[in-house]
Amino acid sequence: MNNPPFRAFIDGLANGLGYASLLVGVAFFRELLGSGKLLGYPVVPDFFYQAGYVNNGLLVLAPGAFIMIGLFVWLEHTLLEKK
Amino acid sequence: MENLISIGLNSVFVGNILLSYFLGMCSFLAVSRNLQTAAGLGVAVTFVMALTAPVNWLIYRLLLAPGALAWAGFPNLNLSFLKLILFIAQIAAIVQIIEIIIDRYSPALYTALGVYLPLITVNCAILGASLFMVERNYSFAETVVYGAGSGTGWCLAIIAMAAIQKKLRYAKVPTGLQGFGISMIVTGLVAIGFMLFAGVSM
Repeated sequence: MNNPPFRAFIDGLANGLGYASLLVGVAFFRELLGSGKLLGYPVVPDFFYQAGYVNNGLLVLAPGAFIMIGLFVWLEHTLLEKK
Repeated sequence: MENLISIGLNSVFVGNILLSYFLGMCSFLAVSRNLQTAAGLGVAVTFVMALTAPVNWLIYRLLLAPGALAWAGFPNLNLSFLKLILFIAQIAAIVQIIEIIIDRYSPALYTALGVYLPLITVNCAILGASLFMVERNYSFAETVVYGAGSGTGWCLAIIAMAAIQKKLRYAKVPTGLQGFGISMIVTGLVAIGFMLFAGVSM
């Protein structure tokens, strides 16, 4: 808890980056699987839809966010344990 | 009347302030380990929300909204930029009163809630309800219903969560998923359950 200013700065920065990376990760999968787009551009090719692929609308809704965060937590815990 | 019923149902289930607007997550996750504490906090939050939303409505409509001070001779004054500060101060005052009451009448609950009781002050769900009330231009009656409904929705969600946590103790959860991970996924499933009420229309 007793960090001098520079280390506290690094701590704050790293916390912010960790938060941001989770935010971007969750948003990436929610947008990709939920509406087939990235940053608003459609990325899932048309023949996928013609072959019967359907966007998972649940991910765009609120429950999708909770479940996605849970899966990210699972991934992170599993990766940390292996080290 | 129909409008009031639909606002009430919507704020409890489909538009649940916790499960569809993500407000009030921190105390929801931290206090839901014990059913009794969760129910206590849920009732306290419901009570605070049911009180603060109407009081904030009065403050906003009589003092802050554009032209609200016409009765005092300032028809062109717009103080709505002060709403955040006044809402927070008013919520803090009401939480303080409730803290004193709980300490006096239920010391056990007071000890069990610990730091989460004063933290109701900064529970974003409560401030969120007041700000949504302004944003959606609710009338006084609608605000009363909305405040009580949002509180009830939050209370129902945390009680459901605490009950599921109790069952989860006997479940085989994968190692990496234990704790926070499974809480999030269960919250997601509870949220799906609450969304089922979207089909109910009055």
